[in-house]
Amino acid sequence: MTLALQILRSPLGAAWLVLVLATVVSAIVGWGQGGGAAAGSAVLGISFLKAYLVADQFMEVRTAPTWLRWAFGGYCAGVGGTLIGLLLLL
Amino acid sequence: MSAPGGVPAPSGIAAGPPTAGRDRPTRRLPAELGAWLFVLADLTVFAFLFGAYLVDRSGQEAVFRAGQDRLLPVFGVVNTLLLLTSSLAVATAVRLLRRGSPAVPRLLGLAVACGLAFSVLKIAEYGDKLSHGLDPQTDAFFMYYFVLTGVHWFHLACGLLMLTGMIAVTRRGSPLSPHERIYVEAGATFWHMVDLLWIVLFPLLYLV
Repeated sequence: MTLALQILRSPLGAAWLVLVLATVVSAIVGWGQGGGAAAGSAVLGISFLKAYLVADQFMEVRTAPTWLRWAFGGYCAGVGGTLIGLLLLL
Repeated sequence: MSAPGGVPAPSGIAAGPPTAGRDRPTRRLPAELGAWLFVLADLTVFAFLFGAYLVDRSGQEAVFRAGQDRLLPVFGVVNTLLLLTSSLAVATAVRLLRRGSPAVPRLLGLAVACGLAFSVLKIAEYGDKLSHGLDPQTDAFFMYYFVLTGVHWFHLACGLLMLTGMIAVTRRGSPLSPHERIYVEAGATFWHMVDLLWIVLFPLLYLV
């Protein structure tokens, strides 16, 4: 089995596949959506879920001390929620 | 188990957190505290920039929409895939480094190649915009576009320098000193932050 295949079969590879699929989905949803707030919110929501997945899996926040997990969770929820709120309310 | 070319099987990629007891994972801070404080501070600065972008956009919806229509989302999609792939390579390299795998410099080299490809695409995109008379002074949208992507690219360039240093450190083949190990983990953390920032920046500028 090649190194590439072994990587793809690992949890990191699975996370990468999810991130790639989410990128394609958000591009399809966002592309030519004409400024719709609902579609824009969905795209931003997906982005912050992706950001958390990068932190959780690639940055090893999943196994980091609790304060760091809370910091990244809080960042993604807080900033993501605020940006979606700005998009919907302004 | 050994992969072709003498590369040990990266079973360590799948390794979970180190365990202290049977079922109690030991929490471990990769790199060192200062690296994480820097990353969190940088992310906070970008959060304010993202917010400022959306606030300014609300007052000039037509200008921002017209500017966005002049961007090609395919550039953003390809660049996202490049950074995600580079992050996978770096994360795998860090896991394999703990097992002393000789594949680490190759994986870091792949990440550098992805980062360079991102830069080439970004330069091509900038060139296309500038050749059409679109620059930071054109309007508020292009001011944000050039500033946000420019500051992000500066981070990426710094990350590429760190990755190059990480390749030099890991290709020696000898065990890393504690300081070198921290350097490699901090460099990896920084590179993932560059990826994370682009993950938010791309939809904000190109799609939303």
